[in-house]
Amino acid sequence: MNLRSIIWHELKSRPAGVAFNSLTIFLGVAALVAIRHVTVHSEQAVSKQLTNLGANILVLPKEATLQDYYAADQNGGTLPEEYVAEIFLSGLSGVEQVSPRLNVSTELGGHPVAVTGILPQSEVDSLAAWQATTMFMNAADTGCCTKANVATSDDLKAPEALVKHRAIQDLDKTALVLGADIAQKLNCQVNDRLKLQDEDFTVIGVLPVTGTVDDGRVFAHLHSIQRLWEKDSTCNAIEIVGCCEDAAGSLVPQLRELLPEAKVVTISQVVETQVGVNELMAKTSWIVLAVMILVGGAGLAGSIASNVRERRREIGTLMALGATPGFIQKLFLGKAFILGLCAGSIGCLVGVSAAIIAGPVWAGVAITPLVGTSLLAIFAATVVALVAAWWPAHGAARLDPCICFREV
Amino acid sequence: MKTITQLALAFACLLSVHNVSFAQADAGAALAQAQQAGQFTFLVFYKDNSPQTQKMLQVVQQGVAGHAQQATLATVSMATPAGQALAEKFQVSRAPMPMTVAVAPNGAVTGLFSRQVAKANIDAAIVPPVMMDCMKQLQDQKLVFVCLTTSEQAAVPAGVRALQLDPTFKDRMALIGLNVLDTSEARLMQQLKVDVAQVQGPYAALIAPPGVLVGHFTATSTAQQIGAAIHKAGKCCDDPNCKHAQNAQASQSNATRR
Amino acid sequence: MIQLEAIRKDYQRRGQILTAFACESQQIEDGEYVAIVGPSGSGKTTLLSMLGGMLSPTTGRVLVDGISLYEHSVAERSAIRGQKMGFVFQSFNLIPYLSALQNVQVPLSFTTTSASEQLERATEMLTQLGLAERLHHKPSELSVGQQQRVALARTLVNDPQIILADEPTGNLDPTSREVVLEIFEQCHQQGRTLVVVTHDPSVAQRATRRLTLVDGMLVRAEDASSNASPQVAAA
Repeated sequence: MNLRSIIWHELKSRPAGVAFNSLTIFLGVAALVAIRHVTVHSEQAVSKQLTNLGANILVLPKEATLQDYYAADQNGGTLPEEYVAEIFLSGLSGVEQVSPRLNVSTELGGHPVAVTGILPQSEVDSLAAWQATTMFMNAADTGCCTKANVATSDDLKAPEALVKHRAIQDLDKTALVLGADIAQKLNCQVNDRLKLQDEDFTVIGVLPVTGTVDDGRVFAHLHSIQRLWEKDSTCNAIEIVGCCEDAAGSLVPQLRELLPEAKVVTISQVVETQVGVNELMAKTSWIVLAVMILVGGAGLAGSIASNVRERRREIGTLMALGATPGFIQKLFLGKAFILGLCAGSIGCLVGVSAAIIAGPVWAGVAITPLVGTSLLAIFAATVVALVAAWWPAHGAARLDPCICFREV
Repeated sequence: MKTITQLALAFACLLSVHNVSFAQADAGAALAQAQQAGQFTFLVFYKDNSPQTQKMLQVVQQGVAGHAQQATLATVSMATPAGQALAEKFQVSRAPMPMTVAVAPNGAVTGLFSRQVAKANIDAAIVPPVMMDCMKQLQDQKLVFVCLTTSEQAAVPAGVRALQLDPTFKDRMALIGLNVLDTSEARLMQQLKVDVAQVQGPYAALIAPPGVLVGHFTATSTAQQIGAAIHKAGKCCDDPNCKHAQNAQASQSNATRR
Repeated sequence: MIQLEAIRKDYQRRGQILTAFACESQQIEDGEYVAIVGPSGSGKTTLLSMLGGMLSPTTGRVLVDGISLYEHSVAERSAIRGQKMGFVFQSFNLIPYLSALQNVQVPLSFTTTSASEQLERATEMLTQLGLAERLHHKPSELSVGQQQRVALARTLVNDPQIILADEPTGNLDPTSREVVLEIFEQCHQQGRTLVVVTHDPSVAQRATRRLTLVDGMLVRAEDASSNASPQVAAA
């Protein structure tokens, strides 16, 4: 028999009480860990998107929200595709790529899918080059980002370019590029044939896993999608890649002037929005931590204090039998330590599991366990429990041992 | 008197609109014919007979009239399959209409005007021969060395000749001679920022696609210096994150042909 | 040997000072079997608490084997209790979530005794008290008599020189009471000092000396063999 076994036997004797005492801490840790996991992974996803998108600008219908864009929601309104040519013809400097996108929903093999129509860069390259040449021959200084095509880039050749560069050089009107998830669901590989609106298409590529909504999308030629879904010459969004952040920044006011009927936002605004959501979630997680400390700590302090009251005679008896005040204090602090550690560990496990399950649904990001965050949460829960139990434990150690003689 | 003048003007306008509102049966053939005849073709693509279309047609017609020997007008209705096909060829099928495309006799596109056009645009799109050649080569993604001379025979700087032997550049280079005393090419020289006084001996100005003046090179310029200038031109600004900064570096270390 | 020197314990209640116990001088020799008797509220438990080092007197000293208990810290007094004293309670005060064996091991857990030795000594003690079959029973699974025997085993497992008992037979049936008193007899015979607080004249009868308390005053001290010899301790 020793301190640990006394604590352990006492805990075992009242499992329901133990569970109730640790409930707040357990819930707090679970929520904290789940939110932190989603936040951290969401931040990573945003950072990845930012890297992938580069200096990006989005042209959206006035009524559309960024959410519509990310959700590939075709109800967010449409833009005329002629905006693409208009952007090129305006001769704005720093425009690197202009990629219109049109989203429609359909079913493939019984699975609901978002089909995104994209325009291959080869179909706008000449227009852009002609305009640039005529501008050079006629115009004055074109400002920032007047650069020469001195080398061939194969960046956009492969279908995988869609993931990294958000554009593709060539795309046949009967070709499809599948996101990783949908390819897996449909059990499709390159050269397989699929039907869209009763028309045959050939899969020319399967994109690598990105952890974004693109994994569930099917990409096809914009004009095929427009024709099959009778969307005329429209699109839901136009992505413009500037050669650098400065170019993107200075392009925005010019684009707003050029396309007054559209909403023009930079990727930094998109990121700011996303980061804003992340910051909110991060703040929420700290609020959860604060709630955990206050409610969980107060709850645990209350239950330890109540436990001390219930066990006054036992404490007196132990003191009569030779227990020192230090031993009594350790008896309650040890109990709190175990409660905090167990509630923290189980809460952490539940939080991580919840994040793994709900993360892709809530935030569209794949979650992997974060060891540091998990350990920190367990540590925090344990410290909170110890701090909460400190005062009642101290009170127990100062109890009058004569209480052991009192009859109940 | 004033009323009579206004009526006469209105009648003239109606007449002119009537004249141009008919799409030509085969604008493609008209284009080919004009190119053979060494004429610039102003292709006016339109969807409907809107006031904007009429206005554009009127301006182009007036502009072309001023260059009767050098230019011709062809109207292209987007409602016809032939018109659609021609629009696809010039990648304007989904461009804002009406749209005027100026095509030089050598096939270079010398002007693209959407929705509205001014007479000055028409004048500017009719470019002198050397400039036209330069535009064609640039649109074919060539590095254009404009070899400047004060005589009939243009001398090519040794560095440029050496560069022609470089496998990285040899297939992408175009040499075009330009007599700096030719006043008809003044606009090109202005764009090339050429100081006539400096043109003594072999002298070349390099333009890279789609239209970037890379620099001037003389008899003393080495192939390496020219190559370095080309690579530098691939970088558009000082932003270290600019993708062209990376591309230019990549092309310098592992240059590939276009 | 236990010595009380000019001991006084006062309590303050609603602005009034009440003397719970006062004694000029009293001595309990080693091996003595002392019964403390008196009506309720006479200060018996106060005296027992002070003897056990659990209640510091307002004035005076309590010496156990020459050690002045209250000149030591609380922790040191706990250690002294653990070494020299054993307590027996009216309600046994067994720890409800521990088995009989574990309850008996509790005093040993405050010492440096190894786990195996704890187990061995506790088992031996319970076996001696006829509880070999009840080692792993919780207090709630034992009869009242068995619970008191477990409590006695817990008291004796440390081999204390002094046993302080508070109404040890108060809750027991006659048979169990007899068992407890016999154990006390044995302890006395083993040379231990017993101080037993009791209401029960028959329990007090078994002691070698009886101290009678009234209103916190020691009014009489009598040997088992002699008749009452009034002795008043000045307050």
